[in-house]
Amino acid sequence: MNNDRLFKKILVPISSEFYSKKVIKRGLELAEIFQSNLTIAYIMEEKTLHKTEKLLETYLPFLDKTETQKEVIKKERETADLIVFEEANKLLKNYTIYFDKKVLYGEFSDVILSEVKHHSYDLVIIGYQKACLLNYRLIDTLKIPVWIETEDTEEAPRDILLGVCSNLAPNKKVPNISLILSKLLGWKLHILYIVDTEDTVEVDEKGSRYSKDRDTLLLSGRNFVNKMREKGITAELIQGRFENEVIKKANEINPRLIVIGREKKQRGKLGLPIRNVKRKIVEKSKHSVLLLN
Amino acid sequence: MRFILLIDGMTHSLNEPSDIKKQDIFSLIFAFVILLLSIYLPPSYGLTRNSQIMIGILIMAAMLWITEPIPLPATGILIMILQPMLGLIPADKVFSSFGNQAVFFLIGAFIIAGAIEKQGLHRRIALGFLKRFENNPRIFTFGIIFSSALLSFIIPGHGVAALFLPIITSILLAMRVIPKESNFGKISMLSVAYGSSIGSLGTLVGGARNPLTVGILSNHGINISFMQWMIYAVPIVLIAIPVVWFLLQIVFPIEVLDISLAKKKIEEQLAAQGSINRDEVKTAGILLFTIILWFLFSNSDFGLAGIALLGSFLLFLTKCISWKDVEQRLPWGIILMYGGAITLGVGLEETGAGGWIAQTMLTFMRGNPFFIILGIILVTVILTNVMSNTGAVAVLLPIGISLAYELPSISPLLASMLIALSGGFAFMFIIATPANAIAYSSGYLSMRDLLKAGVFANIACVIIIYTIALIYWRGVLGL
Repeated sequence: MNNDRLFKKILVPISSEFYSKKVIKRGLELAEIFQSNLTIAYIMEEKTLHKTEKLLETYLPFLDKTETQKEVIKKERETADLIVFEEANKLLKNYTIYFDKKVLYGEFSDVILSEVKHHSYDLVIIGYQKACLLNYRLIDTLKIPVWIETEDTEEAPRDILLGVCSNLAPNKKVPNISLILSKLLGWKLHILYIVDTEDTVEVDEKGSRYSKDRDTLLLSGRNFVNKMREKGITAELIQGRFENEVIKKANEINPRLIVIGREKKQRGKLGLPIRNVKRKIVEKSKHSVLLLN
Repeated sequence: MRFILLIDGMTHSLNEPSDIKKQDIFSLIFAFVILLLSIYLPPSYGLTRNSQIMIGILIMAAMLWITEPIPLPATGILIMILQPMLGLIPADKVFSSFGNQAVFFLIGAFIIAGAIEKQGLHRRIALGFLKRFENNPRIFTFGIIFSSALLSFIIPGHGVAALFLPIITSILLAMRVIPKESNFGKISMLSVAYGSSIGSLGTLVGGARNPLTVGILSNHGINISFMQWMIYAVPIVLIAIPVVWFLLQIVFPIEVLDISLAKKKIEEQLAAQGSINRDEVKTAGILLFTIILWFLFSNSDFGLAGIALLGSFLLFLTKCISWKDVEQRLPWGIILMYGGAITLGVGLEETGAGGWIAQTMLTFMRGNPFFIILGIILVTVILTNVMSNTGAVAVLLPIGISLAYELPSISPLLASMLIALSGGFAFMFIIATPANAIAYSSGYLSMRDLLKAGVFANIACVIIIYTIALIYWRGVLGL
């Protein structure tokens, strides 16, 4: 894997519902490291316009409604230019790269999915805030890496990158990419191998799942951890619920980034079907997460 | 409604979603099931058949106004259709109650507001006010809430919010205030929403629910003049504005220190307005003349509506407004909605359903007037926050008046004022009032911010109106 060109085209979408300076900074930083083409896209959320339009339907006459909508759109365009892009330009002075800018309209996830489909990006960096009502459907549907940058927390994170492997994923991408990122970003790498006690399967590179008993899974885990340690990487084996153990460990070591692979967890408590494990981790975690998908 | 948006050379069509959503179908079915139950279940608990059906119509209307599966005015139309169709009240009586002078007052007031907006007079007044509050960021936000409240005395509150949206956003953009992050941005937009809502209580022009109240009261032989309304309502506005502003400062401490860019932007906008033109002078003169007539003669035979229509006629005569402008600027939906609400009140009274609801409520409240006053305020504030404040007042007013007839210690006027004014305290959700929706659409505040500020503002305003009701209205004015 070519370390310098890990991500060739990076997309940083900024929603009109949630502006994060940290995301732009991260986008510029990664684009500089990997010499990537960077696009910052300001997305005007259609739901804001539609919601307002419906609420004003009875009260404002046609002319006022049209004028109000025009004002909202004008203000959004100006926000993109004067706040988002201007801020990015200011930050750009510290870097040697440049970025493309776009103003798009639609639902956050839909716009990103369409952009990725038409412009072959290989990394999307988005901001995340719990109070924000954005639809983060793309976390489950995007097939390329998604970096979810959380807002600043009270306690500053330590320069650690937590790579998460488990019996639920092939564990090829996470160790490699985590190692590259940790070197380039200057963060210490900590690999965690979780044997999920609720979904006792092994997943191969094609995503096929094979039932295994817990001892076999623990043995595979031990072998994996030993291999990592041989390479001089800090690694540990844990068993429990995948999502809980990730959060627990992250709270314990307070990393700058958690890297998660193509985990395919399908069963939860009492063997009942489970969905959106990655989204749950993102929602519960205080830390930034890179989903390698 | 449809409009085209051009972004980076791409054409995006913004169509209003025409598909009926599942939740809309569910709401419609639920509302009609309630109506059908009221029709087909045998009358019980001392209700007559007609009063039971009328209560069914009331609940159905409230459901439709809360969930809005159909436009608000369409529910107003449905109320008018159902009453004669189900044999409750003859059609001529239903439609004659629609001819209430409150409806024509609204038409006249909207035409006058339309002329003010067309001439840009409201913008000039707003900028003129704001210019006097440029000392520091805190005072500036007071300027916003105060100016929007005062302007809501002469044009409807939602019109004021729509006016302030571009003025304030252009200032915030010039100051590079970050949307949803800056407390200054949040307070500025909340001041627009809350200022116009509180200000709309002050006069009969500010909110359409005010003339509705006057209209329904006149059906009971109680006539309120323009000045009387102000005597009752203005003290609440004058107390609520500084209190709410102060609470906003506590909830969202302002981080901005320099206001010079705002000053510059206001100067620019004032310069762009140019000097006052002849049409603006004519419109301002007619407005002033109309207000004087409202003060002096609104309780005479000429009446509120007659004066409002005279003002409108003078605007047509002086070419300050054309019929085309009226077609574009008049929210006909509100007229239909209020017509429906007035007929709802008549129906509840005629069938005895209003009296039945009032008696049932009294058994729970044990007849204590202090509890009942607080109860009326709380129910109205809760309802006005979860549905359009127009709908909330329309549903509660007939019940409140019936309640007052059952209880000698509360007059119908007091009950109506409590409902009409508490109905303006729609601070917590964007669905509650167009002013909140407009402020939210600016992008400077989230729904969470609105809820956070709204809870405090609502508690403060409940205390204010309760105190005013007991001390000023009952104690001093003898309501």
